[in-house]
Amino acid sequence: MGERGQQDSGEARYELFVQCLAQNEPDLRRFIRSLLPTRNDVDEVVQRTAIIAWRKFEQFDPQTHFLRWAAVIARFEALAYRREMARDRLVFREDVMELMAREGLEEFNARKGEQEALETCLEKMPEKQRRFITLAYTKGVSIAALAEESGSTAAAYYMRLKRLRQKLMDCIEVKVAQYNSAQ
Amino acid sequence: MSSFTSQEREWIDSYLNGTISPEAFESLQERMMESPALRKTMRRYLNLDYQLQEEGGSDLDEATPARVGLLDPEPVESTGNGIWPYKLWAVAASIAVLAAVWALSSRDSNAEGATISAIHGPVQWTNNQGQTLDQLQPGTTLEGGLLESLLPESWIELAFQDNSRLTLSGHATLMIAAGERKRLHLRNGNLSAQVSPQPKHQAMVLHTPTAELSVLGTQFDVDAQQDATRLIVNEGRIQLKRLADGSSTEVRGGHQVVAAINDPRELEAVPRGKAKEGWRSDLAAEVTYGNWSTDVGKLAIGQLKKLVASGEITTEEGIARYQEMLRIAAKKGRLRADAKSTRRGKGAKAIVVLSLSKGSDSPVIVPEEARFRIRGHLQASAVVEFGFTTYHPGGRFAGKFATQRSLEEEGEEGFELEIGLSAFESSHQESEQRVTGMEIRDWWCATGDHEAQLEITHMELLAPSRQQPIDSL
Repeated sequence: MGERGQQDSGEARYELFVQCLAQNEPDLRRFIRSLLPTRNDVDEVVQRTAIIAWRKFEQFDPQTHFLRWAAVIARFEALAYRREMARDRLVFREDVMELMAREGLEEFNARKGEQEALETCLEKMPEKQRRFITLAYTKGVSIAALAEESGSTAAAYYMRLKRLRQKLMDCIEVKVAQYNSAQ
Repeated sequence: MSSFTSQEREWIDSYLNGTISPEAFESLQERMMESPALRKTMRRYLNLDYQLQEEGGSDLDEATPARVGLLDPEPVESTGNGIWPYKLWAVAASIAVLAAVWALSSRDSNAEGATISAIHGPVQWTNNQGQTLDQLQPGTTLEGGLLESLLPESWIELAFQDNSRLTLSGHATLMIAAGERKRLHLRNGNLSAQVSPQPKHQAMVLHTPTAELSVLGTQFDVDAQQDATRLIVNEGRIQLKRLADGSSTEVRGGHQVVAAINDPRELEAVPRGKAKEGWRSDLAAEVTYGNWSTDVGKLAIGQLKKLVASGEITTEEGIARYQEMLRIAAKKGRLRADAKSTRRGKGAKAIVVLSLSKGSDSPVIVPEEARFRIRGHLQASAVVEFGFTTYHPGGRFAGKFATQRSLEEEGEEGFELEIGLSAFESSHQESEQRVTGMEIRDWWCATGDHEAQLEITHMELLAPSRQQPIDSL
């Protein structure tokens, strides 16, 4: 292949990679989140995974599933990251992480269904509750500081958060069950 | 969560909150190893947690209790296991994990605390018993725990019995081991140290997320981030080990080294570059706090997908836009201030911090009569604080300087301003008020007016010879 041909082939490969990554990045993030404790950790491992996946992209068979292929890379990257961070972070033990990763690889469809159900459940939530849980998950905001600011206790705020999480999870279970029974 | 116990439910919640104790975390993992159902539930909750983070996001407008009606939280419910003091849990968890590592190290008889010799701005100390102090005073002795400098303008200087001195500066977290010789863990931020000669074979050890430093007596400055540690040695020698591959190098006075997670190159210390006067920030490369984005970058992958799904653009157009975003991202963009909680009941501030050493190996010296030129955007009028940190030309923390400006919302045009050095006030009450001739290491701006949505698009330190009218740029 001439130089021009190689360049065209390289660009086509790059376009395919970008397309695959764009389509699967949210699912990949969800998978990594099931292994690591914070958003920063997830960002880091997603970035590493994307770089490794790009380097190894020639090995990827377009007839197979990119998400599953990339998730296997992500699993190793998460384990490597865990070893680096294990000294000072609350991360899962290696055996736990291995099991979580192995089982998580089989659950992409379930996770997607839960995501769609959550959107519906959040919409149905009373405005005040929805805004509370959104606030609790706003980056950089400390529940303890907010509680202190409003003259309450962090425990009260965490308890409320726990109840709302449970409420959302119950709603998701119902929605997913309804969807499955309709199939 | 009906198929498992209330205890397991507590564990999952406290794990999601980041408040689980090390003991409970260990128990949770034991149960997870035994129970496929618990692992499955955990994955579902982690997915929920992830999705809520994505839905929640970063809108500071939402982040006020009054806006969301949180000033009257619902009463606390009693649970069978009681409610832990969550702040204590969170800190105890972090400390205990490190303590377990440190417990493996040999102890010696040189146990000593560190005494606060100077302090400015919000700084918080949590000892190993979980007690938190945020009204620290000079003279207080700290003997093991977590020291957090909370905002860009914060700094604290510690003195050890052997006259070693450490200064923790800006948004930074340092863990001090109790009952050990000087064994420290800089989790993030800037530390400047003057370490007196240590007994042979008993070096001071400083851990960062990506490196381990052995210090027998020297003066050095270190900036630790999650992905890289930047060490500048001004006097003496330091042995630095890169954790990613275990390689190590000796760094001598006048040299610097970066130990990064993803750097395949050989670990090598290099001489510090020739000092220069003036600086124009590469915002994308130098940001340490704030969210970098480009105009095109606002169309993130998720949004592009929605546009494709709704038929507004084709898949090919979506890919083209994404590629264009990648190309432009490195050139044009803006830094949006990110929320930082002060943890002192004063809510969050929106902050941008730039670290000059991330953009260049050469120190930037503040010339006489220099001026800062700043451009940015505000969605509403706001009082904005601007500040910078200086180091002595030969290394060592010198001081922080800050000033405030009331800025008006200027629409799409944004704001432009120049601030001369004389407008900045030192946070040092006694000495070290000189600015010119000092090295500038970081720059920040901050506002408590969240509706302003502060963004920075240009930042420059102009030497007198380079000062031009703004219009000519």
